[in-house]
Amino acid sequence: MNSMFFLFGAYSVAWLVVAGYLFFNLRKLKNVETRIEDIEELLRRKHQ
Amino acid sequence: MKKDRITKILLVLVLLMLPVNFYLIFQVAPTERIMGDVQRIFYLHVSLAISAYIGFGVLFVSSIMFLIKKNLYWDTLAYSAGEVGLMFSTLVLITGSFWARPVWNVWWTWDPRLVTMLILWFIYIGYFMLRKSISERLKKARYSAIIGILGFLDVPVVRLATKWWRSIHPRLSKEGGGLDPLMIKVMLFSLLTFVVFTIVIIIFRFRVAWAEERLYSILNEMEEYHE
Repeated sequence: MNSMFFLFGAYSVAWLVVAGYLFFNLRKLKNVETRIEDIEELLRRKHQ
Repeated sequence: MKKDRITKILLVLVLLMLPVNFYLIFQVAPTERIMGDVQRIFYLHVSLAISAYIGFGVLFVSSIMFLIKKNLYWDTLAYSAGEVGLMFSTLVLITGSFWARPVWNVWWTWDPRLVTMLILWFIYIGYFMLRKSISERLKKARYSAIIGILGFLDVPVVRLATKWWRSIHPRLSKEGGGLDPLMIKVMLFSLLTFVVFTIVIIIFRFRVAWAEERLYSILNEMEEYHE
């Protein structure tokens, strides 16, 4: 294995993990926002 | 609103800085004489370590603030920053292995710097395991704040490990540790990029965590109302 394998391996792993972490949290945020919207809608309907 | 603007400015800044950082690392920084191109891992590896320390530092300060103020806002900030710190410290260990293999001929060695870093990683794994094991919200925050404060004591040990014990790990000094002046400039830019990047990720993670906290409190209130 030449040194380029290790260089690009290190950078690829690091950026893939960071991108995965950001994507995972973005999805989490979307889910929470959807659930809050659902609750708000439910409360609105109850008050009508 | 002012906070939103600052976050957006930081995000734009980091999006501009990251490609410049890549360009500097791969095109401008000179190739190291003995290690060759693989030495370019150094810019990423050190920046990731500083990012991890920032995450754990915010966890440490927020844990103290939680114990003083007893406000869950601080606990939320603590575990958000801790999670970011843990991610970066995992990457420090991984990129370190990628650097060690061609240079030291091993993926891992029981060097004081590596061992203290691994201990730090286990401390924060323990922090999150503790959080998972306690269901009562305030109790969870209180106990994890204590671990968060005590765990941070290992950070200076990691930094000083190469000074205190015999180590083969390269040591950075104020004078640059024999590095080419251009390498030092590239390193400083990389550090600055990662500092801004880490702040942006912590803010983002905190927003997700705070939204979750709000959702749970709404659901709890609804449950109590129905009972």
